[in-house]
Amino acid sequence: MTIWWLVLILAFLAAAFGGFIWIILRLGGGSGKPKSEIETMEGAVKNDVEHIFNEDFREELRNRGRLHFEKIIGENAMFLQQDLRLTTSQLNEYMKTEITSKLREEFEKYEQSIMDAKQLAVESIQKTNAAIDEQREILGQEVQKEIMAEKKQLVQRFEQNMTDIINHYVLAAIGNQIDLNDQLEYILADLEANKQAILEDIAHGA
Amino acid sequence: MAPKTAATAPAFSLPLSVVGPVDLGRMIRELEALDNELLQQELRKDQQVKLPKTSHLLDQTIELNKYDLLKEADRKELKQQLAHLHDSAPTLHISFSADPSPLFIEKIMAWLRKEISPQLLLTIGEQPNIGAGCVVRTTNKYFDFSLRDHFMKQKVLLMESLSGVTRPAPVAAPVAPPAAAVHQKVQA
Repeated sequence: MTIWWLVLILAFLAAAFGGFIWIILRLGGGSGKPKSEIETMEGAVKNDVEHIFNEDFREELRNRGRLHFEKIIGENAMFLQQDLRLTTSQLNEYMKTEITSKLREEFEKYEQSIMDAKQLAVESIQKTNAAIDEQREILGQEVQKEIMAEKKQLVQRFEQNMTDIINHYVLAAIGNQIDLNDQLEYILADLEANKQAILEDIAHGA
Repeated sequence: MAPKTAATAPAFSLPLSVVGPVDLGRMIRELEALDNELLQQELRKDQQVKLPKTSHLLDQTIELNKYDLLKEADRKELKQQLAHLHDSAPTLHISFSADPSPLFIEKIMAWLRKEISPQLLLTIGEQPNIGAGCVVRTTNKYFDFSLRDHFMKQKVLLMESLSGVTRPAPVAAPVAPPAAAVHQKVQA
């Protein structure tokens, strides 16, 4: 609205200025008619005009026009100044409003961006936590499975070696407690049972 | 006394106290020392040839085979016989769990000389880890009569016993007490 007012005022001022220029040119413009009767008449008219519009009158008209022009210029300048002040104040308000709204929009966008980033970060953290929990669950199951396999293997190994352990223990425990004289009968029985094999080996031995 | 030949003389026999090649070697060395001693006495022209004191093993061998050590031919033959046995007599190696007593060895030797060979020699070892029994090694064979071997052969039986002990017992189904017993408990 204010822009249109400003344009209108400037157009009005330009039209007034053009009118004055035209008047001045018309007043100061020369005459080029032939030097005939017309010229004579013109000369007479000219004389009359010069008589009527003599130098003083012209000067007075000029002064009046100048004053009028200055008055109009001054009034228009005053109007222009007022309008400029008004326009400036309106422009200031407009700029304030626009800048405020723009800043608010930008802040809202910035805040929204921050919220989006925050939401993304939270979702990412949640996904990461879920993945970690899943990995932990899988790892726990794997470890449990490994422990069970190890335990089973240990039990199997223990069972396999248990007989050797018992044998070793029994032999170590009772080995020194059996007198050789008590074993003589069994030793001779074993030798008797394998007598033939011993004889054959001695007979065919190197 | 003429030297005994293989055709006329009975087979050379060893006393039970002579067990292994070590004893034979010891007797051979003793005979050599005896030879030297008698030779020295002869060179000194002693009036009375005195036989030096000999070991119990050699005494038993001489007595068993009727040798006279004052005779050089007997000494020579005895030395030959001992050397021959040392090189060619059948030898057994028996390991026991403990160091056997001489009486025990004598009994074993009596059986071996009677049942296997009268000139058999024996080397004795010690393996405490066999527990009881013995391990016999001939020239080409190995006989394990030990308690350890017996246990190893019974390993399957021990495994079965252990499996029976370690296997959890089947869970018995709960049995309802007789109605009379319940009635008595309620009254009590």
